[in-house]
Amino acid sequence: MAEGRERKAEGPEGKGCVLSSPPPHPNPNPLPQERGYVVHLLGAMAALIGLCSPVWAHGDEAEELGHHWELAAYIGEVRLQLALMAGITCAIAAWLLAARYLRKRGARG
Amino acid sequence: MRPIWIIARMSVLENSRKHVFHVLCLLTLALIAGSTLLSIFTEGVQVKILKDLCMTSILFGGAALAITLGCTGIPNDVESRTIYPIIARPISRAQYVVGKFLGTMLTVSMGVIAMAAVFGVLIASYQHTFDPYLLLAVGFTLIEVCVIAAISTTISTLASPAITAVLTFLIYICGSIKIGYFGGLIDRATSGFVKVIYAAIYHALPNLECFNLKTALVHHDYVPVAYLAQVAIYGLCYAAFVLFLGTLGFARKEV
Repeated sequence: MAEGRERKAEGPEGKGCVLSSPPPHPNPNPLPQERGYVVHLLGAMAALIGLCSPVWAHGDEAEELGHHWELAAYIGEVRLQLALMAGITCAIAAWLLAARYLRKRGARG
Repeated sequence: MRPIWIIARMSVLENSRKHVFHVLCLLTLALIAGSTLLSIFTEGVQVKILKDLCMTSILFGGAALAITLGCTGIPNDVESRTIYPIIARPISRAQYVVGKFLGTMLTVSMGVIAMAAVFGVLIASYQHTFDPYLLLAVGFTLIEVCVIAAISTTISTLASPAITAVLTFLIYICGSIKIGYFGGLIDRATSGFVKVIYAAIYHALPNLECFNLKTALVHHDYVPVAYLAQVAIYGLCYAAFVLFLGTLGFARKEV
């Protein structure tokens, strides 16, 4: 290892001098960044599954929840969320349009 | 549309070269093939168990693909600085985000369709006939995966890949047990403030369980067409809405 850090070289006068260590040689088999992500993700997912495992069981309603198209709660929630999304989108669009109008008006006046 | 398509095509090429894509596809295909061995032990209901296991494998495989590919697309471009020449062109950031999402979705669809093809061949070899419910179940699985990919892409515009993956996975789990678990939590909450917080989380979470038609495929149950149409529209609207929020956030972000 010491040879890698310091090496002797012949100077112009023929005397040995110590050169600073060259930049570290890149690892021929670097661990790809993606693989590191995947290892972290798998660990986090395993921990989350472990924490959430009790709630996977729906208890006595398992039979009913399998046939979710027969439950009013599902389709009711779907319709409510559609209405909420439409409302929020309209509000954001109105806000963006108002901001653009005010900006234009400010630029003119 | 042309810039979106170009970004989507490049994203498909980039994603399909990733090792994660190949590993997850092969793992899911191995699970599908392995479920034939497990179903041997269930005499009489072999095909039903096979369908159940295979559909679960396809759903988890598709979700894992959507999360891993969706969470790395945009952050990798920002980190490697390949985003600069892209946004320097006459392409809006919204087009870039939508193109990335479409690329992720196309790649995940390729994987899911490959898994579904193997599953279809297995079922056809057992039943000696093609099961039309299979197309329905796989189609709705793709819509569910589309919602997950949209969530992953949107969060990735604001956060690092690791945080994005964990958050998306958490949303996926919570969305899958939304009605059965979170509905009960709201009912059990005593404090009014806690109830409001629970209700806000409850209504913000995607209702992913309604895309799960595994039971209909296994038992050949009739599912009303009106329900299917509403659920399909809901899935596409939810994905579009989440992407809309993502484009709004990304438009103001310093890259």
